[in-house]
Amino acid sequence: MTRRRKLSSQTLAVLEGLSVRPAAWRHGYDLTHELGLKSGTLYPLLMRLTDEGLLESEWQAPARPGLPARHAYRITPAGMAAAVATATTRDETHRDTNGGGLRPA
Amino acid sequence: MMRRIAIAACDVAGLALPPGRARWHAAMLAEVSCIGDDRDAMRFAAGCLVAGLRERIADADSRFTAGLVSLAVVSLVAAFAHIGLAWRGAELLVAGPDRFFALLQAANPDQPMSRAAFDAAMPVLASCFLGLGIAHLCGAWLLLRRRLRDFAWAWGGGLLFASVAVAVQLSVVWSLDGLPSEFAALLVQMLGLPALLLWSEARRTETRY
Repeated sequence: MTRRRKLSSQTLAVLEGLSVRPAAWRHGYDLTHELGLKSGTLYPLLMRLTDEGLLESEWQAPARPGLPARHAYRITPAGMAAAVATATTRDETHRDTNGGGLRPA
Repeated sequence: MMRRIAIAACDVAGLALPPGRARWHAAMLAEVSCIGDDRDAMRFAAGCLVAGLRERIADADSRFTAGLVSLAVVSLVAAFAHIGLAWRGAELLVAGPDRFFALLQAANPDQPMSRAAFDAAMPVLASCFLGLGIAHLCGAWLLLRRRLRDFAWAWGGGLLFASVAVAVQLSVVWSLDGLPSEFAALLVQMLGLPALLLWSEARRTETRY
């Protein structure tokens, strides 16, 4: 049986970043700029998220002749669901921590 | 020049990646090749190298292998120590210098030792040390080959030789302080291998993020 741990903030950042334009394919280098993550952090996350089916990847033909084919990524419906669920839990926790209701004087 | 270094760093990252992740090397290399600025490419490749190393360190199979290698090293050290003792015993048997009696006496300074009892026990003791050394050598080889069931047999053989060696020594010196060194490596393996297997099984059932 596989047990899934709570998503880290960096993992959530990747999922949220990719969920902005879910249909668009992104490249690793562009993601490092968009998400402000270094490639040393980004690639392990991409590997695990792809393994879990939260991201999908494909090889894309080069934009210009002479350049190699590039590996591109986009979020899957399961990834969207995981991102939404984690973000909701985070928001609820944040609201509870900051005291959501009125307090007696 | 910087571009070449970046590509070389990416290739090293590919070597560092565990076998199950090897295809990601091509993805990293393609990105490095598409980055226009050499410094950016170098920075990106350095990150890829870090990613490769992190994946290797996080890889459960690599850690399991490292654990087996550590236990094999313990086995090798014990093997050479006991084969060394057997060699000293063999020297004595062919009328060489008697360093073995002195060694046993030095290890048990407070125990009265009978020379006659020692001479009678010496061939059996030397044979047991040789057997224990060979059992440890086989154990190390089997651990490195991941033949854990066969290793259990080698471990059992080692335990038998160690028990006989200790029993024979007890017939000479009557009592030994603390855990006899013959059992030290066997004890490390008895505790280490099940712990490693349990850890490996636990890792298999969880996904890291």
